[in-house]
Amino acid sequence: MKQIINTLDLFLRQSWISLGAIILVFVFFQWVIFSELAFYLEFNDPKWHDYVKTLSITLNSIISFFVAIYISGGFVRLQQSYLWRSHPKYRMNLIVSLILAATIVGIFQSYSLFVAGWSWYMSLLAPICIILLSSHALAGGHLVMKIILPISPYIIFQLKTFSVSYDFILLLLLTITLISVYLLQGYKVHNNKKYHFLTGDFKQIMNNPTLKNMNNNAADLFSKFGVELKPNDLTTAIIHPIGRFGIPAWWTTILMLILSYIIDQEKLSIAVFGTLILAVMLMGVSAQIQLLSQKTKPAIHVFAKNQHSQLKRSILKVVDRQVLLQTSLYLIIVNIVSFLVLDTNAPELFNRAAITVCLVAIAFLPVMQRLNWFKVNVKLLFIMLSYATICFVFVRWHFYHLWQELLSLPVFLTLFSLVAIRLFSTYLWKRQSIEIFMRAYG
Amino acid sequence: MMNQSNIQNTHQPVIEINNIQKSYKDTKVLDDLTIQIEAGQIIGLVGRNGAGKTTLIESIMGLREIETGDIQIWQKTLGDLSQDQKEQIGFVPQDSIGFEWMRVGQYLDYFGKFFAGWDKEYSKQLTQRWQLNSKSRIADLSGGQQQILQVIQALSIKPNLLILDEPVAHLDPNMRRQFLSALVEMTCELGTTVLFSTHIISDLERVASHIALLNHGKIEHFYALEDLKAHTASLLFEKEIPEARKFDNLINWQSINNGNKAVIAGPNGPTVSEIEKQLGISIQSQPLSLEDWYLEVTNETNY
Repeated sequence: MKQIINTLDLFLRQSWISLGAIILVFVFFQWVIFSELAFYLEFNDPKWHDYVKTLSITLNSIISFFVAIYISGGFVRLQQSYLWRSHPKYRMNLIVSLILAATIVGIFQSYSLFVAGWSWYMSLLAPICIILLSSHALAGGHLVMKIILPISPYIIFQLKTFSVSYDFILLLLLTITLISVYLLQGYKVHNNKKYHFLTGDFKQIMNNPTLKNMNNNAADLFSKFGVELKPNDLTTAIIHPIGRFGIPAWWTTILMLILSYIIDQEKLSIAVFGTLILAVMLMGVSAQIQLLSQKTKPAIHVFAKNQHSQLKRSILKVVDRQVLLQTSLYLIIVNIVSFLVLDTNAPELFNRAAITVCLVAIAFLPVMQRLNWFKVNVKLLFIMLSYATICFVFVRWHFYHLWQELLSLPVFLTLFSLVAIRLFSTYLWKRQSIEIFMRAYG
Repeated sequence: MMNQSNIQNTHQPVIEINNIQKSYKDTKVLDDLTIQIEAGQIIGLVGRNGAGKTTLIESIMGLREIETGDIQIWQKTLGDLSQDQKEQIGFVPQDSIGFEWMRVGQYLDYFGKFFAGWDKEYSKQLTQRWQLNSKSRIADLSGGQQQILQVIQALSIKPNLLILDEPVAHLDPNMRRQFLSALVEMTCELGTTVLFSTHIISDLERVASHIALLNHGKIEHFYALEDLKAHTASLLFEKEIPEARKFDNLINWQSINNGNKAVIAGPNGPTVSEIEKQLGISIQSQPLSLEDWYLEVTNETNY
């Protein structure tokens, strides 16, 4: 038991400021739920009660997602030890600690769900399940699992459209969570985790036509195109694996398209949760972006000589360019899909959802690259609060179609700030000593 | 082909590897590899870059799956080993340590507690001896210091079997010397069996009892160090002697200005004095260092 407490301690201690940011988001969302609940109690409007119930589960899901990313970050880091594969006690210790961490946070979350009108077992178990399933975004052993398991709660909740009871939904959620935990303990992680980015070719796909290989191959095509345009550009060579970053968005679009056909009445819900799908995937690929760290370090020593600062800036510029390119491509595709397939209101909603997520993605990029020094963590704090605000406004808009709220000054300022922060960090990045830079990337 | 030394060892086998194979895509890294390591031996595993040393070590540790053959530790497969037995195996991987947010003391305490034989006092001693501050963050340590931290962790569990993958690659000569003396202390005190891979051949001469050379996916040479030294020399023949070319341990023969130079390496043939006796002549000879032996046996142009 003492060792499990030690592991929990390590999960929490990995970044104090990120933890502080999550606690602030947690407090903010809970405050939103309780303030809306107080409003309902004052007027006792049944329609408002439904709204509070949905709001409480949605906001708690977002909290669960952030908590899962943080906790599973610690889990994945400890999983890199060779003991994960050779020492059953160590493996069990990590799994139990992850479940315990999810349970503790779930208990804290359950109170607001319970007072919002959910049954006690739903209030207690749903957040725990969502945390454990979302943790697969980082800790999942397979790319498909990294995507499907974190979004599964949102898909399961859509069963309500078919008049499925919440008890059955919870049962399904529990079953999938148990399976996911079982899968988690079976993952075989090499202690030297190697990411093979540009390995997919036509022959490989023909021999093994998996989603992963097709994804790799599509990334290859993007990268080759970039390298051919600028064959001697070191920065392009360094960041070209990020081409893969945009590829999962294409698969998401296909998934959203299929869902739109299946659940005809819930297009708006799909649009809202579609944003979360993309966010989950962005987090999922964060580990892969770490490849930059391995390439940047030797490149700086070998190529940059005295121009470290310039190289760093140019790397970030190319990263930005790539992210903007990929997210723009995603927006175009979503537009085409929504124009051709969905009704007239949905494209607007899709656009705004996609723009929100893309901006958050751009702002999140330094975090994904594990630039863990103080300034970035403060930025993370600000970004997460902004994200919380956006989600809150977005949910209100979804239920009451308060279009004017999206055009209000605070939302506009929030979105503008996200872009400004990202651009500031790229183009006005202060010169850092090479040691700090290397540590940040290593 | 594997050449086994004639050394008589009465100890029980600790690691038995029989005919294992491992490939990466089309490349066979381990090809029908067989070796037996006995209790108390200190084996230095050498080989070229990419020869498969890390793959072999990780296969022994169960970190990589082999395609055919079997690996046994203390006469059991890794899966059949009891928890107690697993905790008697110390391991230092080649990779960087990770866990950069942890502190040195915290790292040692946390991972040490997963091993029954963890000696906290000894880990403190080693930490002080190697001048690591237990309050330092791992992220702030140099590559060599991070490596030594992993070594401290492996030694402090007082293992019966210690497996190290290039443990001294990032260490300066002083640290290397200290590490090797700690290794010798441990084997003398506990009779620990040690398998370590290295590219620094001179270190082997200081500590290893045996040397294993991995080449072409096989253990091509596996000798007791004393035997190897006794049977390794550079010989100078004033004239061509056809009989001299027939010795099994002859690995190089070349004509030079004042005669012919031959290199014998390995206990699978006669010593210098035995050659002199057989040929009935006196031969000028020079002993070869272990590094020269390594260069000779890994030189593809030799016959």
